[in-house]
Amino acid sequence: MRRPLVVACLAACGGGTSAPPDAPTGCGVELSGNRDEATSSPASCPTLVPGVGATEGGTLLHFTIAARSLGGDLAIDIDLGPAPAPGSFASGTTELWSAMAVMEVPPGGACVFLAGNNTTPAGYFTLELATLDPHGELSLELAVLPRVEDDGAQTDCGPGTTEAVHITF
Amino acid sequence: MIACGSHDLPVTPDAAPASVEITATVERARVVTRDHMLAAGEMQISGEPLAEAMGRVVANYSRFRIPGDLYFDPQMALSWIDLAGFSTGIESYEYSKQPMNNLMFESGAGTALAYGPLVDPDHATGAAATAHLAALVQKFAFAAHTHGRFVFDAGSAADNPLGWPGIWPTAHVFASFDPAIDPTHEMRLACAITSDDNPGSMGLSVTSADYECDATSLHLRDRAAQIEPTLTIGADGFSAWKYGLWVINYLQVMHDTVEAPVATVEPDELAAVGSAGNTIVGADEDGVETRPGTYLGSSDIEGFQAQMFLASADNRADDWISRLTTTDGVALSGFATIGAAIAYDHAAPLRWFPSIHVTEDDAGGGFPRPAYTLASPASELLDTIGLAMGYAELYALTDTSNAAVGGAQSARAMFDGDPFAADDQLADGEATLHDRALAIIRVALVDLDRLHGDQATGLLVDTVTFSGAAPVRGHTLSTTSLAYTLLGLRTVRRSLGGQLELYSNNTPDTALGPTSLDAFPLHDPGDPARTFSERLDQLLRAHADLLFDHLTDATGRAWSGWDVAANAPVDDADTLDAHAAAVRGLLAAYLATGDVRYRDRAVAVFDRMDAVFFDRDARIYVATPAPADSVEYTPLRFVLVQSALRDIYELIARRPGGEPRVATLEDRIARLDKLVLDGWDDRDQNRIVDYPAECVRVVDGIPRGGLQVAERTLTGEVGGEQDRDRDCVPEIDDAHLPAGLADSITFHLVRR
Repeated sequence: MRRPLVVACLAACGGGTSAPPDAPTGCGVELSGNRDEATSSPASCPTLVPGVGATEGGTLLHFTIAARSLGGDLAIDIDLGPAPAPGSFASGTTELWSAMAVMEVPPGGACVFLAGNNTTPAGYFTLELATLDPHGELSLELAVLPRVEDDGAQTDCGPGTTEAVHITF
Repeated sequence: MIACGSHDLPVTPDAAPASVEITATVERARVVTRDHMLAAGEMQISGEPLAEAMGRVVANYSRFRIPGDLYFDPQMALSWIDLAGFSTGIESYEYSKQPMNNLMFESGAGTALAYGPLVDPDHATGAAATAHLAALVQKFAFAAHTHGRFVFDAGSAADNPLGWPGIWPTAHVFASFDPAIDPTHEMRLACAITSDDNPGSMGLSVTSADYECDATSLHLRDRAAQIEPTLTIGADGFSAWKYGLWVINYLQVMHDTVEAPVATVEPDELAAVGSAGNTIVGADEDGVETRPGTYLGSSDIEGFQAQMFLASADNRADDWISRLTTTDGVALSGFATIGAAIAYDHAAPLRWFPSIHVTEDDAGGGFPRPAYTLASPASELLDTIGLAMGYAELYALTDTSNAAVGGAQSARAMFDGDPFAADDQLADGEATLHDRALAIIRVALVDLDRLHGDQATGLLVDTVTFSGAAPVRGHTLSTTSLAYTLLGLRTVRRSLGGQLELYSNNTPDTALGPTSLDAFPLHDPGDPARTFSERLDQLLRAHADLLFDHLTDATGRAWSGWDVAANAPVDDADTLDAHAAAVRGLLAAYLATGDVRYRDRAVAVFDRMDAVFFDRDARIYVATPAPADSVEYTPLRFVLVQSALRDIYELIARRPGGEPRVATLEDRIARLDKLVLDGWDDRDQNRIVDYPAECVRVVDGIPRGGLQVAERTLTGEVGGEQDRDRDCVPEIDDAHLPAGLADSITFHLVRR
């Protein structure tokens, strides 16, 4: 199932030109802001999954992105509604969405990368969903929250209070 | 077609950690009361309401947890460092309150309320005058359930003639003063203050230094040498605005015996709210019964303070209307009645508010007795606007047609004859705050035209001097005073129209019907049939258009003032103040008129302000196009910038499509508050105070804050340490200054 999606993505964003022989394949992920990273991997490509709980009855666009500089997986879910269709989506017009990654910082701290309709700060996204393969492009801004332990230990998450994520899929 | 990688951020993201070392020096510590209270009002609006607009729940902050700046996120079950939220919701908000309390209750930097005309109607002196005030303080304390907790029997100790130990209640406030004080460092009283944010019902009282419960050591250390014994309608006006902002907050609810909020009581019991020993059972906002005993205001302390603020403002109004006007620029006199002031028009002999010189004598009783003479007949536009704004805020509290403010039970309980006189809701000159506020508004705005109106253009000018009784107008109008003119006119319109509500700064106005002041002809020479409200609208639109058409352009350039004689900008200077003020003024005009041209222009001006004046290496707005080697901040410049950021956040970034601005604006707000107010330069941008290395002003081993020179309990200094919360702002007993702003601080930017 995934291979045709990858082919479609490359065709849409590559301008119809051939990829260099050593170009990474899969969905491209660029991180910038607090942490910088650029990767491309089939594992970063999204899937459409049925909603559960608050999103039951809807369809989620779900990403699990292995982002080393964010300390692990960046999980993103965007509720496309009960009858998803290609088009433009944005945080201001999407009722339920979320994105989160947690980077553990020894000895007990963490930098939390967070956005969503029910988080503070909310962050935002814009999504161009070209096809339901799914194929498209997602831009997302997350807040970088330095966790403070109960004993008062503070976490240094470095400069930059936001993390920008751009995914081509 | 998918736009791969397209980003259209309006504001350039910040660069890597700065290579600029910032230090600061305070040039003037003196309090200039008008500017400080204007700033305090803006800082309040940029406080809790802004934090809430950012999505924060203010109850999720602790003022006392160490380290500070933390937001507890209940959904994530974690605490994170939140500079934008903490610096607004806690610091800007509470910092704004304390200099007001210092003026009203602590420093003695004004005339004694004991000699206010309504407190002392029989012109008693000495101990008899103090006894009048003591009786009032006791009455207020019982009405707010403060007696026995913070207020005790008057005269219960030699230093407690009124009931709250050491308080020094003022009526008028002085134009300026040296704020030096010597607060006690003692912690013997087990003083535990509470508020609506830390109610006793939640067990959240915090043990504080003794000065929080006994103001004796908060008096000016050498009052006579420290005060400028001058009264202006600017200082009285903007402090009244500030009092009004807080009192509207304090009168959102009533409270029970454990300070739980009471939203409603049975209508037939309203008159007894606040009566000593009452057993009224109210209901909270969910309809749940509260404990027996219902009292005025949102907490024991705030209910008491609200009454004191109202009493002070009412006494001032009576003085200005009845005794402190002039018709000749030489002698003081007054309107014959409050009704005559409400009916004041262009056909009446010119009468205006001059500045007043105060002389005092010691008649005994612990408070000096003031006497007044005319100091100067000159008039300043910003002063006049401040007076109108202040009493517009207070009028809203007395206007029962304003459902959310004066019409709420929590306010009606205050103005039902006890403790304050009831009004028939007509503009008929009763001896009430309702009618005195109307009178002040009327005279201030009629004189705005009669004194400050340029004869040729109808535009207002900043300054007016006098040749005998004839006004001699200047010919310039600064963009800053223009912005506050728009804000003031809008505030008056909303108040008279019943629309002025708690923290409604950025709520669009709706159409106004006729107001109570329209019944009195203006006899405006330009149009004898024009009503008061019509003239308000006309002034507002004319000055909004001046700002749009001539003082800004489509590129976002703003000019610092207008010369009505030359029909041109006063100069070609490119200044931060002009841009920030233009943003404030244009957005006020947009909210008042609904004209989106003003809003769109405000965005253009803000974007230019950020592009040109934000020094990206030092991460500070500078007064002239960046880069700069230094920048001075005054209270006014600080709040112009803070207000521009706030209003763009609330009115632009929160609109659909504005999301890309949010994070950058939060960063800008946090940086401004933390650097300029607190004096903390987060050089490595890790959001952790490297203490004291990142404090920009350290004297004798003690960080001395930024523009905010000291702090106390409500922002984390609970006594015992120089800077317990290590935010670079010292406790007041170490600073020997009240929790307030310096009049000038200069940041020195050294590039490495």
